[in-house]
Amino acid sequence: MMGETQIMDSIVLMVLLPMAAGIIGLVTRRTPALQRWSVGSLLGLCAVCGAWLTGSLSPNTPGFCGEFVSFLGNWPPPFAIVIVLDALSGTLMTVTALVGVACLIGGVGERGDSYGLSWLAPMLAFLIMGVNFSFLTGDLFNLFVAFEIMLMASYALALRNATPEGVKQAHKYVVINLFGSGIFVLAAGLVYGVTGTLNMADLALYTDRVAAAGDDVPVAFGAAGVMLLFVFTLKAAIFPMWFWLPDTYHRMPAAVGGVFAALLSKVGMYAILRVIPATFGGVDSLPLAEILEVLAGCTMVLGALCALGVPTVRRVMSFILISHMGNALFMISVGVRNPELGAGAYGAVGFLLVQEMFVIAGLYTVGAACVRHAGTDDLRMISSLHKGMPRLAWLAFVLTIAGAGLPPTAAFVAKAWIVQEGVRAGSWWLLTLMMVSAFFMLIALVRVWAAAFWKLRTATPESVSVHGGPSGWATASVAFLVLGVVLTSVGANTLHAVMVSAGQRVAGSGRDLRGEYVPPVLKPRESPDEQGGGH
Amino acid sequence: MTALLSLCVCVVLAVSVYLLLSRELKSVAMGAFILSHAIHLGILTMSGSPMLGDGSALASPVLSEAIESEALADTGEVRRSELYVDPLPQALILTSIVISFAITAVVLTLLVVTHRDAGTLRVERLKVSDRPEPPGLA
Repeated sequence: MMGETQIMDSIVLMVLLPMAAGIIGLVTRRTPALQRWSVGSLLGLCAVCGAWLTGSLSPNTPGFCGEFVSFLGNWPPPFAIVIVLDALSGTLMTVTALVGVACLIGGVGERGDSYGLSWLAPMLAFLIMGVNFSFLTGDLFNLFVAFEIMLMASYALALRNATPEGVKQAHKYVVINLFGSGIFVLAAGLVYGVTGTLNMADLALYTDRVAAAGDDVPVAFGAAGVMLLFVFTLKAAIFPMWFWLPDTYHRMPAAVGGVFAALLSKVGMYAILRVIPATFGGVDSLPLAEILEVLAGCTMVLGALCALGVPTVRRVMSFILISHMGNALFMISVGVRNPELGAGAYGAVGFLLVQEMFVIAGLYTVGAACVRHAGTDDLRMISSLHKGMPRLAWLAFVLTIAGAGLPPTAAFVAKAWIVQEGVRAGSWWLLTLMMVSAFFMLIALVRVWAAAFWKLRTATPESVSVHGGPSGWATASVAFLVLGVVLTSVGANTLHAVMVSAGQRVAGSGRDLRGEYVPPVLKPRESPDEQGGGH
Repeated sequence: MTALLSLCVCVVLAVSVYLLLSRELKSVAMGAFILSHAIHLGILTMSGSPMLGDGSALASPVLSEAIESEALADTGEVRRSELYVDPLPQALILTSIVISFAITAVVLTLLVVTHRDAGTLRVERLKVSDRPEPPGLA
């Protein structure tokens, strides 16, 4: 059952509100209190707006299958740059804004730069603007632009108050992303050169159009698919391209590490989900399912194994994040191999991403709080932190359970859903790998919590300098994120229903159950020659 | 023309990859800048040649009565995509140039700051002070 497409220009608010927040944040940066309140309330408004738009997608039909579209400049599709809000992007944007608010809370105690100016709030708002734009856009080149907005803001956030060590690490981050962006533009140009369109919905129809005309899909199209996959897996930190993430994220300034982990990798995974199966699933020269399966298996297992082996809290969390991304990619590969199961599998990806954003942001913030409290988050040097910060210890316990995917939390629902779809698809190898990786992740997370918070202090006391209790604001930030975890767990049923329909919508833009395309946002294509040339 | 441009893209791309693999941050940055040039050239190449087989060229993408009526007289139909150059790749390149300009500024600033802090831009010398404090796993 597909809902209908409605024109709703107010979805552009999801980009405009963070932009307004950023601009106001820049103007008011000499008065930090005013800045935080205005930016925070605008981001909160953005979250409310996202929830309202997602909720009103189609209130009368169970399953929220509709979507809101805005054609920028009122050009007819596929010539317009379209922005689309459906259940998946709407939910992700809502959670994005909430994670942004949590980061803002955590950054309250932070000092400004040497002129006393505070840059956290405006740059965070611009980051969220870029993230929301990536979730919203229905145009491949605009996805690139959105990525760039996001990356520019992330460079600023990473380098703000950076130590000399941080500056050195930033080189790696910047150059890796610069290379990725370059390949992205090249791939977008190649796709345009081959197909003559950049509209994602139109691209999803391309292989069918070619097949209908009796031609073969050009090899260049498959090559563009591989290049795009490279770029997106680089962003999502999938197996061969993950190497930069553990080195950079764990050196980020305290407040932003969680946001980076929660948002940037999700954007990469979302881009894979939106673009790759729908557009390149039907290209015969590209063994997409096999590629995705190998990448997913390696990412899950190696991520979990590395999580066992690394010594600091935030490095462990980096690898937990990577392993979660592997789970998401596993589901995408199931959807690519079995198009008829796509709806369920893509829904599981959406569910995993949404609930994991809160969890991973919370875990990173806990790691940052350990650094603040004990001077380090090295597991061999910290212990019995529950004495110094009892509240944070309990919050960290909830996050540990959620990160490992244990029953009372929504993460368990996500795992169960993934297993269900995996069984249905009969991909036993990957299921086994996923189970093994889940087991390792459980050990790694419990080890972190036990070593950092529970274990009694034994030796090496001189190496740990206690810097006093954790900042109340850091605890508040983690509490906010835990509240998100609790809400997604309590509302798991609703979220599940929303994600089932979101999965149908995502699968609908690719190969459908009925073997036909139901592209989002594409009215009947008019001949280019009647549209005034060009395109 | 397309072949020549493709060759140019290959050469520029090779230079940029060579620079990106170097162990000096200044060269890495140079590689990144040249990479963006290679890519813009690549998009231009992929948008197709404006030259037609008979030596004439496509018109610039501004609708013109004269061109269209001439085409109508010649072939009996107006196919604008075969009369005008496609302007979109150039718009893509322009957008991309602006973005890479901004990132160039960021990277150069980063170089200056790093050099001020560490006094060197050689990767191996920067790395020595980058060891995590406790020995062992890392």
